Amino acid sequence: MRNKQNSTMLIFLCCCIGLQSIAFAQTDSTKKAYKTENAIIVYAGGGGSFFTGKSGVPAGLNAEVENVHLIGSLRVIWHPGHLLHIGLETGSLRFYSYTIDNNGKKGTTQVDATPIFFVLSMPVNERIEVFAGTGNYFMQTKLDYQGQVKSNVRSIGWMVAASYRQPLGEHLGIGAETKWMNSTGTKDALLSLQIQLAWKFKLKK
Amino acid sequence: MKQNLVLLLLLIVLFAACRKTPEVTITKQKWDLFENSNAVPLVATTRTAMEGVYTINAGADVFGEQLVLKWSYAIENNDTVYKLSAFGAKDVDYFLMDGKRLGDSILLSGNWRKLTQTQTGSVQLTISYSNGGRQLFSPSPIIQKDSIIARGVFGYEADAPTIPFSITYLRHLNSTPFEVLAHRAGGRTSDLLPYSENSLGMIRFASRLGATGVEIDMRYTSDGEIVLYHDNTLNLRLIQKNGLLGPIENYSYEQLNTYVKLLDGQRIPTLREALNTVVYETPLRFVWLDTKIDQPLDKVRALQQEFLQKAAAIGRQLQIVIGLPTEEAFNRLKQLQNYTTIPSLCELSPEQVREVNSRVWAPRFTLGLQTEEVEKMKAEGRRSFVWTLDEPQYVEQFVRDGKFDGILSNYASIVAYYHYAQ
Repeated sequence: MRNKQNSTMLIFLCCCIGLQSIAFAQTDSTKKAYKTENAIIVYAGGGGSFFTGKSGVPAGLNAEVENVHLIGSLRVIWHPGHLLHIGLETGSLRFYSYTIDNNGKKGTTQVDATPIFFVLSMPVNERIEVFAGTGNYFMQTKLDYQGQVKSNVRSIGWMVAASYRQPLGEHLGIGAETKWMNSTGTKDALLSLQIQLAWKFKLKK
Repeated sequence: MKQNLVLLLLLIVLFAACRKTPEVTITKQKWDLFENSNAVPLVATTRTAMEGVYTINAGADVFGEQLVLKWSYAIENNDTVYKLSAFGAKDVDYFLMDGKRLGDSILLSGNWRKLTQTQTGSVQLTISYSNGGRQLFSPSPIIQKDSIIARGVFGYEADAPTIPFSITYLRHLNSTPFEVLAHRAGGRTSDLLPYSENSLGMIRFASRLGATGVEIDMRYTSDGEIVLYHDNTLNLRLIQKNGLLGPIENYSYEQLNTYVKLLDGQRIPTLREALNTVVYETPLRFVWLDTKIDQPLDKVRALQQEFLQKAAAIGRQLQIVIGLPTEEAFNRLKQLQNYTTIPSLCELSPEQVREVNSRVWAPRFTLGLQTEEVEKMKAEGRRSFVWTLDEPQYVEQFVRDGKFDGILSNYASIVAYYHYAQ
């Protein structure tokens, strides 16, 4: 399972390295074009996620694991007139859930998270942008087995993402984003694919 | 430059993701002589006479200059199983061996481990009739310097043991009364011991590491069961992954019992199970109940009383004390009836020790040797334990220069070494 997770991450990182290489292969004029921009862009996305970590169900019990879930993201990025942009991201996601049957006693467990990240981003070209962020996952376990429990814990983690954006006008764009999210403290990770809307708010220079 | 930095960052992330988790694998080596059907267990007089401080002749470069050999027992599957432990100072190494008599010789077979590393290996030793067997088999052995020589071989990891190893009896063990107290029931899970911390398996194993007592951590479940668990939250340092997160106090005992397994696969034990194990399955003589609970202590007190009575009923000299690490715990003890008669261990000031009439004062080691205060406690009939000492040079210093009656450590074997070799 760990090998599978590492392989997925390796492929993802290779893609990011590739995109990053393309980014630095841009001409000076392209860089200049991005450097002149001074705006705030709000990204809102939603889609599906696939849990790539080890779900970890209790040993010795029959469990049905659900690895595919919905995911939503909200990101605000300031483009300060440099290639490197900074911002914040949050969202809502479910890493995984499972049900058990312990001699007729059924139980469900859901592992949810709300990330809050400091994010750096960089345009690759006019349409493609890469993101990397680190911060905390505010994790929540919802257990329903012989009583209900909601229990929270904070876990450090990170994410990397790449998005493609098609302009719909001067201030609006639509696109798709693939994102790898990793909660280091709880060893949870997922890969998501989201449809994304982006609004640009130009700032005065 | 910027491109290189980004690439370097990505490579670091990649490296971190692929880092291997350290593991300790103990491989039992087959030794035909030891498995011989004529080989029989050693009798008590032989076992006791073998205990002592030994000089390492061959193998000193790996294991240091001396070893302390001490037998211990535990009840495993209703059988009393004796093992010979050897404790060394270099890299906090310890050996765990079985012993048998075959003809006129004693055979010792087992494994060694360096606790500050992940290095392990096997060991096979023989004490021939002329090198100590004769004395050890006599009904009243008289053991002196050089009267026992054990010769054999050791090996690394899963390799067959081929490297010469020999030890010679130097002197008796130091018999001064002293408690070797094992933290978290024996040691930390992170030190990759054979059992998880605060588990029943670890309680049984503690005496193999030289412990005469254990410190265990108590927490309440949401339905009022007292269980053993150290950390504030369920986390992957201690338990197998199961999706349950947050404080253990949020979950009922049945939920924990169904869902949670410690890293070695054991369940989180209740305090009742832990005390039952101490009383009926180990030679441990001291239990320090570390209070990590924010509720009244009457359930803890009831269990303490019950198991003190059970221990007394079978002739066990066992002490169980309620630890008072904080003002809150101190005040909760004072809420109990006749609190000055309740065996307790106070980590606070000497005045507070006297106020609740604690049997033991337990200051942290960073406060120093505090010889004068320790002597005062002795004069009042109290004992003083110091916690939590893990660095070998500090353990040596506190054993050599201090007046404490016991040391709490994550490495009980190093405390045992310095105490018994003194």
